[in-house]
Amino acid sequence: MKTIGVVHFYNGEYGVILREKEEIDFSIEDISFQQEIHEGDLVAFRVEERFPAIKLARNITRIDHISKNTIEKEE
Amino acid sequence: MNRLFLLAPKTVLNKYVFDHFGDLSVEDFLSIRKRVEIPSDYFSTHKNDVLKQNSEVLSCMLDKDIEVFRNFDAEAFSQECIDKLASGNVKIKEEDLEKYPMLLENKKMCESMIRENPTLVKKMKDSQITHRIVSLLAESGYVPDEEDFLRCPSFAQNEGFVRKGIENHPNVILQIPNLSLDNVTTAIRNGFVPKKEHFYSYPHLKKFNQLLIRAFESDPSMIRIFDKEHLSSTYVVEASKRGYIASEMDLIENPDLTKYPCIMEPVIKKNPKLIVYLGASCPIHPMVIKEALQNYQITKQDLERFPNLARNESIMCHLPQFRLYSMHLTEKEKQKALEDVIKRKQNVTIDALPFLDYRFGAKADIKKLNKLIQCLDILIDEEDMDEQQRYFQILDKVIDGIVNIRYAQNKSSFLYTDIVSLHNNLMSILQKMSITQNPNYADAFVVNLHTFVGKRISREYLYKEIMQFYQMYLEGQNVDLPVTSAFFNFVLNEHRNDFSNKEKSEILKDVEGKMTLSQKKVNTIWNGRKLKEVAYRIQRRQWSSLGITEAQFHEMIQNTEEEILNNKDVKKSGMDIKKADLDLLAIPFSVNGALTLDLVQSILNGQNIEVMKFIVHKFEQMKFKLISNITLSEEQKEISNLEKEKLGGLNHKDYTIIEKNRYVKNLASLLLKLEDRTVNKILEKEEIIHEVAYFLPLLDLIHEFSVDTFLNILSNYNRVRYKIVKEKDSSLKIDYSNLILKKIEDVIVLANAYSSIDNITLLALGENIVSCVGEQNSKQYLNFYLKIIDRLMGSIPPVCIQMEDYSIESGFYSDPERLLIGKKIADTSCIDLLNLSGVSTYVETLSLRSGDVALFKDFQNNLLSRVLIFRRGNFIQMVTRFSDKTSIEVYKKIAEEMMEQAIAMQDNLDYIFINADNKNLDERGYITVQDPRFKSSFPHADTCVSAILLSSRENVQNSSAIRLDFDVLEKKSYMKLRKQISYQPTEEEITRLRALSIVMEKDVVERENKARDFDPFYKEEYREVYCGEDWYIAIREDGSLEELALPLQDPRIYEEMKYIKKNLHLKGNKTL
Repeated sequence: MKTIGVVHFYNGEYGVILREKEEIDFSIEDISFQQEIHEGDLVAFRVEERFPAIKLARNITRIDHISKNTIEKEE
Repeated sequence: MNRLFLLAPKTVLNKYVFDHFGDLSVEDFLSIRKRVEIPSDYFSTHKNDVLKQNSEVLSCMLDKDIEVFRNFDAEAFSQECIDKLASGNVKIKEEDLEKYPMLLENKKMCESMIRENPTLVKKMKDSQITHRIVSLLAESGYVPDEEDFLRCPSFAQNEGFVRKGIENHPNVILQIPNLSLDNVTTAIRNGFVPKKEHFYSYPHLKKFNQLLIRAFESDPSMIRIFDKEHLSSTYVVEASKRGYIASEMDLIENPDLTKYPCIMEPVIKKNPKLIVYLGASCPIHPMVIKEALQNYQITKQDLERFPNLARNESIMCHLPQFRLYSMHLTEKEKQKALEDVIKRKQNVTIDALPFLDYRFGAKADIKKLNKLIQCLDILIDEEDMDEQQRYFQILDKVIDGIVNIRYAQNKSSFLYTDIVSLHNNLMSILQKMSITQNPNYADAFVVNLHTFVGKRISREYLYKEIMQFYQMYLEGQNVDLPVTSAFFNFVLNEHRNDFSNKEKSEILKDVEGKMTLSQKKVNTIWNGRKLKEVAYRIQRRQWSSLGITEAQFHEMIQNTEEEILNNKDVKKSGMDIKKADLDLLAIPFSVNGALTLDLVQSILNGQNIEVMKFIVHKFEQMKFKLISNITLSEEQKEISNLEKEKLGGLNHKDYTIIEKNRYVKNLASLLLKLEDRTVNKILEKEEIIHEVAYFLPLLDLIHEFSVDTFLNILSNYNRVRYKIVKEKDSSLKIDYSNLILKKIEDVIVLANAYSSIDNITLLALGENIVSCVGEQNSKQYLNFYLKIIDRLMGSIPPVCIQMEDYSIESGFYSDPERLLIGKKIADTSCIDLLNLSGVSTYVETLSLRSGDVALFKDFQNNLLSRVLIFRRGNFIQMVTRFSDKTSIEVYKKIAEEMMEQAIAMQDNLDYIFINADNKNLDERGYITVQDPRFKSSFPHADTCVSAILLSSRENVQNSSAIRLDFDVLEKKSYMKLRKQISYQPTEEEITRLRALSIVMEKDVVERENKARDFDPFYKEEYREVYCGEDWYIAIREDGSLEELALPLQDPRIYEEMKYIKKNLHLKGNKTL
């Protein structure tokens, strides 16, 4: 099921997406077509769960960019 | 000529021209011709090169006589003159063209000439032969030859022309680029015999089997030009019978020849050096190899130049010195060789370990492996007790981490999963107690809680607590969760402690069994055994075996007694010990070889226990002096796990916690698992890998802390490290090695999660398959499955037989269970996708028309057995597992059903066999046939040269009546069998179809979008669901329809769906 989140951290190799304060891990291999993704990007993806409660984002695609300030304010 | 002369009368002028024609200039001619008629024959009877070379003169003359041109030189032919000739419809002869080739440049004249005389085409320039000319030639019945086709490609475009050309000049075929089968047949019928050079110069000729066969019929050495597609054992055997022996050049130019023993054996016999060309799968006779190797020693350089040799098992078994080059080297052998090199602290080189060379099957670059070895290098001093202790503590922390993981994994199966479930249970009990006024309800709850906490809390205490809550409940006090939470937290903690203790002791027991005792401990145990042996020999008075005489033994006793009597502590003790007392003690010692404290106490009747212990010790010490004469056998040296368990548990004093051998074994195992992609990923962070290197000697002691887990940690180390520290800026000084150990539980689960394969891949394959092939291999198996899922036809009649306890089915090509033919049942089989030796047979069995497999399944769909099936020409060969115990009658039943179908289909299947090397098959009453091709045609299927005939088209009395044809093309194809429609499919089945439809999506953008939207199938959202093997139809609660069909070619998919819809009166409104 597709869901939406914001890239909270990404170092070009792996990163974390925040979805309602829930952390979802991803790596560059999970990004569709190796799109350029940056912190603050709004992304759509599918979530997979691994033991014990690790969440992984798959098939990530960039939708839009949200400024860092907006995210921090929301947080 | 004087201009005034032109004024002379015509007769004079005529006379003048006649007499002086040879002297006339062009100007004269042009002036005179206005006055008098100059006959055209003057140009043939008189000589005047000036006039004959002039175009103006020719033009004038042509106006009078069109045929005059033949008296002119070619220089005179201007475009104007040529046009005049063309419009004059002059008939040009072949000899005219010799002199005037430019005439052909005029289209009209050229066409007219060709119409008149088609052979004039030979005189034409290549560029002049236009399509028009070619069609004129065709109309005129011209027969082109090879030269014509060579000169002008337009000839080859005219079909009729080509046919005519080939009929009259078969070599024309060489010049036709788009040959049809008809052309080839015509050429052969008209005597065309292709030669080697033809195939080299015109490689497209090789596409035609008939040409190859014709060439082969005239010269068996032509087999050298047969490509893989056309080369077959029939031709190879025939070539060999006709005396063909391949040259070195033949083997170089056509490496496919090297696959056939009947080609290679004579080659090698003639020139042993050529053994290096032996093909990878050529099963050559051992005697031929032996003889060749006596005359030619294969070198390392040969193997490097011809890596196919290393793939050939029949030769590699004769080259033990090059065993490490063999592609059939087992993982165990590789592991051992690699361990030996690492132990010697040497660099891993291709020289020492050729299997780490890509040419010999390596998966990763050896330079990078060396780099990784450096990164993971740690100092190990087994004698350093501090280091042993440190590692014991590390191991303890790892075990604790794993126990925590197991706790979390098992949590959902516990009787009470959390504080809420405990509270809810309590509340329900309290309610029952209150309603029934029966406090006994508390008893059962107390018993459950008591068991739940592993009896760590007394029943009385638990009962007291429950009753307190009951009292509060009765009094109407608050018994909500916040009130009970402290008690239930205590219960949960005790349960966790109980679980952890039990798990930890299980793990420690396992680890202990795998650990080696320290040498010190081993020596102590061995000495104990030697002392027992000394005692035994004393009992039996075997003095010489103890290296002494009886007198010397008694002397030793006397000396010991002296030492005891003279000992200060004994004297001070106040015990009045006399020599006679000690002599009394010496008697049982001499008889039993041992002295116990009880005996000493009873004989001396003493009170001072320390003195008596000293006496025992002194007597026992005597035996120590004799143990050097005892040698323990290997059996006596063995220390069982049971004995180890009695030592008092795992500790760093009795066990070698950090062992060099284990470190080396784990490192070697890790290196052998690595592929380029993974090693590159690990080395990207080479500067930090050393932080986890210390785990290497502790791997594979616990299931969850295996080499595979460590590989996951290494491949994701940076990511795991980030997640654990949760600091983007790692400028803070952190002792990562220590931190990783502290959080080892998180490290393991994160690394495993980060290395996990995408759910869609796993679901598309199904849990049953993934659990057998392993998650990490699932992508490879899925890719292969996608190649076989759309297989529709085969050359082997499919069977579906119901036996009493099981069913037998073949021809269900898309059944994923077939992927496991090398994993389930036959777990030692090399017929597997990931086994270099047996992969080709695996591929043939599952994906090629000539292969199939019959699965034996019980009624719970469990795989019981399997038999491989191959079609070759006019027969089928079934191959059982080596240890298969199925009765031959069952195979006969399968064969008969196949034969029945073949006869009904009018197929050219004549015989069905089963391999004869299975000792469990009772071949009495059956005909056995021998043919070396039985062995060579089914690589790695473990066939032998003989086969048992199970069924035949016609009655066969003996083996000599059997005519095997390995190469005849099968006449018929059989359609795959389909699974029955399921009216109550499982969620897993539908989820699998959804996942498969995504991985099969060809449009990559669409595939990503579908993958992003993917959801497993949940039945509760649907009212009804139906599914075939490659489609499903589901009806939602609101009545809307969802349907999916995999993009496959089988038309029956849509028939089945239509049938379901028709019977349910459904109309599709959503297609996934």
